Amino acid sequence: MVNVYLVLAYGLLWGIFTVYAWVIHGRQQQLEKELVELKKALGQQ
Amino acid sequence: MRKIFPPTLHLLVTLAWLMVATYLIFLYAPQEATMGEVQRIFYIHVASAWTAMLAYFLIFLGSVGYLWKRRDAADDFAHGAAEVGFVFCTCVLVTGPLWAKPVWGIWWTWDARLTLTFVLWLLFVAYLMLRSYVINPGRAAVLAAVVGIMGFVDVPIDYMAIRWWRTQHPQPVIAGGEGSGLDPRMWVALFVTWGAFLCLFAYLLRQYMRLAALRREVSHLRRLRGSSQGA
Repeated sequence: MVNVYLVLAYGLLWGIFTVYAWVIHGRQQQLEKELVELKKALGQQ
Repeated sequence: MRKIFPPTLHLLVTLAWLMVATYLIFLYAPQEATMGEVQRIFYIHVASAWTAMLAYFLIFLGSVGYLWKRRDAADDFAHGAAEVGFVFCTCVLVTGPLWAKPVWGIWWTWDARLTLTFVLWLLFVAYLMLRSYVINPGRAAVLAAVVGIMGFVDVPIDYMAIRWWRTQHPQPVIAGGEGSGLDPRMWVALFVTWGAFLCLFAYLLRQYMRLAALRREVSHLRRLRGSSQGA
């Protein structure tokens, strides 16, 4: 029989790591987009 | 670093290492005689705890480096170690009670080791909150560095708590005296898991450092745009 506590522990651990990696990637993408826009705006001035 | 060991390769190595660790935990390491299957939480719990303690040591190093040389890279390193360390410390506090409930019959008790680990988690929170709420970046970096250095005192006490005091938490498996220790296959599973977690920690820290570099560049360009618009 599968141990519920074991499944929960591993599930939550990988859930926490995945959410953090996803959040940090999202923040990077947002900044990269802003960087391109700023460079474009400064190049036009 | 990016050329020798690109982030994508780092991520692939981390994932492969984690898969090997999972294989060792579930198929190579023997089942513990009294606790049964639930003992396998031990590998991720201990590896997360050691990584969280190491993370706070890196905050300490980065904080000392920043106060000494005032280099932004040292501050970014400490801030990144705090953010990723917080994630690992959260995993310790999540997996611990999930092991304790079936083994002790309770989720939590305020013994020395558990309380000091909770204090460590609060120190990570305090460091990160300070970074968020102090508006002046230079001032935030100095104040956070002070928290990073002073808070480090918790780490050795937390590590030694199960050696110095009689606690509900199990006795140490390393240098724990007579009767302590592990089956050799359990050692292999534990150290391979810790290695995989360190690799994951390094990958996430690298991602944070990249984020910090982007943030500085964006902030610099915003200032440039502001001054060119004002002129």
